[in-house]
Amino acid sequence: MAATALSLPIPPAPPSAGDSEPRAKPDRLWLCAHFPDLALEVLQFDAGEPGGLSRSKPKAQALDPTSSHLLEAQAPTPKREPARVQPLAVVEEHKGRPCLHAASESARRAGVAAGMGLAAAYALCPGLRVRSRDAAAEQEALKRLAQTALEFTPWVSLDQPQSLLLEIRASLHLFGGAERLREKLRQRLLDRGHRPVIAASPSPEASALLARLGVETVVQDRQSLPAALRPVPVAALPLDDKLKQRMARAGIQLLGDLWRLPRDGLARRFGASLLRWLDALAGAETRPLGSFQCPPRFSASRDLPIELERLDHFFPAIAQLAEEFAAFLKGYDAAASGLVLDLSHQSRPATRIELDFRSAHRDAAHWLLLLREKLERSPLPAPVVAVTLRSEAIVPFEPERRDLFGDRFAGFQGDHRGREVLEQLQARLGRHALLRLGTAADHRPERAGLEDVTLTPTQKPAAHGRIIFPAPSGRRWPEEPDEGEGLNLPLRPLWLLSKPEPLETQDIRLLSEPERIEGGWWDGAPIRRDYRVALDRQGRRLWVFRDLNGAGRWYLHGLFG
Amino acid sequence: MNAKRDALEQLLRREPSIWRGWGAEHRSRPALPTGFPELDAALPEGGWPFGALLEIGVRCVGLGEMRLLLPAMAALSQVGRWIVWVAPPYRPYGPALAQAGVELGQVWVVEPRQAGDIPWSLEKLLRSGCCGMALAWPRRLADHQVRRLQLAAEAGGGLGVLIGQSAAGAGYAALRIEANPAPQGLAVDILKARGSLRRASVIVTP
Repeated sequence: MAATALSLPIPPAPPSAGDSEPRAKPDRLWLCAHFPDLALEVLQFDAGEPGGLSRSKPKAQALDPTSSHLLEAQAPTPKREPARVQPLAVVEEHKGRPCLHAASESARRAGVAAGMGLAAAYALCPGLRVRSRDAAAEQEALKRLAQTALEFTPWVSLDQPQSLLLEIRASLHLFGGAERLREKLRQRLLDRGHRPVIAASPSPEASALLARLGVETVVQDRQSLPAALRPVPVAALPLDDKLKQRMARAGIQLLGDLWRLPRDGLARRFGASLLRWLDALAGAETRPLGSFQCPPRFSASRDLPIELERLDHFFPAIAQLAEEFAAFLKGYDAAASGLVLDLSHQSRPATRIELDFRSAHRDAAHWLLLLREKLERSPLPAPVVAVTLRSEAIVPFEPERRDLFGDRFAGFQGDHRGREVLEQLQARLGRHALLRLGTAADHRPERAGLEDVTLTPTQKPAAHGRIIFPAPSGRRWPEEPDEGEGLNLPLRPLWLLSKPEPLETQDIRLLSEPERIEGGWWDGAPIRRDYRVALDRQGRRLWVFRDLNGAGRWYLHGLFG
Repeated sequence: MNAKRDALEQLLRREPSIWRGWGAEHRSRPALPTGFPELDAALPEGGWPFGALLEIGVRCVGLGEMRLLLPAMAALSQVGRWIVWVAPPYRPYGPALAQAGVELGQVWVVEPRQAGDIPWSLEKLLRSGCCGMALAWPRRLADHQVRRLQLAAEAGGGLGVLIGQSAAGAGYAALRIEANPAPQGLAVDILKARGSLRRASVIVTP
């Protein structure tokens, strides 16, 4: 029961591709949405972040002057592109030389094509603007799109490059057929600023191939799949170039030619891996696909109507964002273990406030308390024009556990309040202001006390386990019970000085027998000391020692408070 | 008539700040045994006033004032309440606290960088209701700050302890004592205790 309460929604078990099951069950239907211009789209929109889950609009200043036209150009009929759009190409290092990865519509019209060398592209299109490829941003964009795709099916895979694979057989009924589903998906993806080419077939490989080739088709069952694939030229297959050359020399032009050849001969000539790939293409071979699980994250922003300087004026916007975030977390049955607040300024880098919580929760009022605490103490360099709240530190929600019979002391309100007050202290005083005490098994007094700075939100409080003290080395009293528990050591001082202070013996009166503490030879910091309790003139009880390694000098090491 | 008297009685009981003369020991919260029977007997509530502020006056740190508090600290930590040391003059030593029976898992040390944060931290902690005992060694606190701390302790139900040179102030703290070393142990003078006008002096041997 506890396990279910702690887990995020579990993604459905992965269906295997091209299951060869009895006919009673229809084939899986794999839809592939390929984004031919992903590299371009990412570079155009990188600052706007049309995030899958955020309700933020792309900020106006983040957009190129060209991008609004480009959006129009991305509509299915991209015919009326204004001439002033600058042609753009994305360059990638390929075998040590820059090579075009993608080209915009206007560049393509000038004859620039992907795979071209940079010099050739410039020769064809002198006004070409060139940017280098941002593969990480592409992957991020794909993940955001995958979150959108999760609206259509619980099973989304990112295994194909620049594409989403969706298993849609189970969703067909709900969306009224494959065609309708495809158009709805296309609209959603276009809304996100990405133009897809969508194909569907019972084989994920075949869908990906068709989508990459720009063939927007829906093949419902496996029998009709070969017919759809037969006219595909071999040169367009995602295979090794040398292999394709050999095929061309053997007179194999189309995929249909490959299928006509006897299997064993094909395997001998071109390798068994080609055969396996062909089987996968025909949906005859099962190949497991990695599933995309939506990592919950949150990002939302508010543009302020005017530049605001006073906290009271722009804090309501932050409060709205926090409420939204809390609702978001509730929807995911999740909690946040940290968040980031960015306050944007005009022509200045944004002020960033990061909060790490001691334990994950989704209490908006508490965040606001902490944020206000921090904001009140950090003067802003400039007026604020926009606020953005983000969080990627989202973890499964863990309900608070309450004691059935309450606490023995009235008024005790449990972990929840405690965590809040610790976070408030940490927010105001800084990360290193909170310390915990502990003990370590070491003979040397200065090492037996541990200070454990608990900073990270995930770190658990120190264990409440047995405290084990070292038995004093040197002589051992026979009547001492030998348990290793160590609480029967002579009394230790409540305050220990971080560094022993030299002491004049005439000022003190020794009270106790010496306690020899010796050790540390193993790590190069050996001590040999005789500790005693002493009384000074003010009446303080001191813990003093005589250093037997040194010249027998006396030192003050602690105070019995 | 009787009902009215009961209502009044309840009202007075709920409000700890109304002083009701000698011997009126109606407290909404239990006192916290100090661990020293002779001291418990001398205190009007029979222990440290829980949900209140305690001021301990000492000439200098280390006279034995901490040993007065250790039994209560151990008891509180064992029921899962925090013992928080705010800006202690030295670093408390874990093994010594463990020897006294204090659960180290409940002990926090707060080190504010600015002295101005000390009363704020104390107030937050006392008000939170998680803190069994919050100790501080403030150099100087204004009367209104002491008053705020006393109110926070009442709201949260913990013992706030201020240790330092006893200043002759208005004294909003519920209990003010002074500790001096004596040949037999520690002489504790009760300077002011809520609910009693008796000034007592006891010798405890921690």
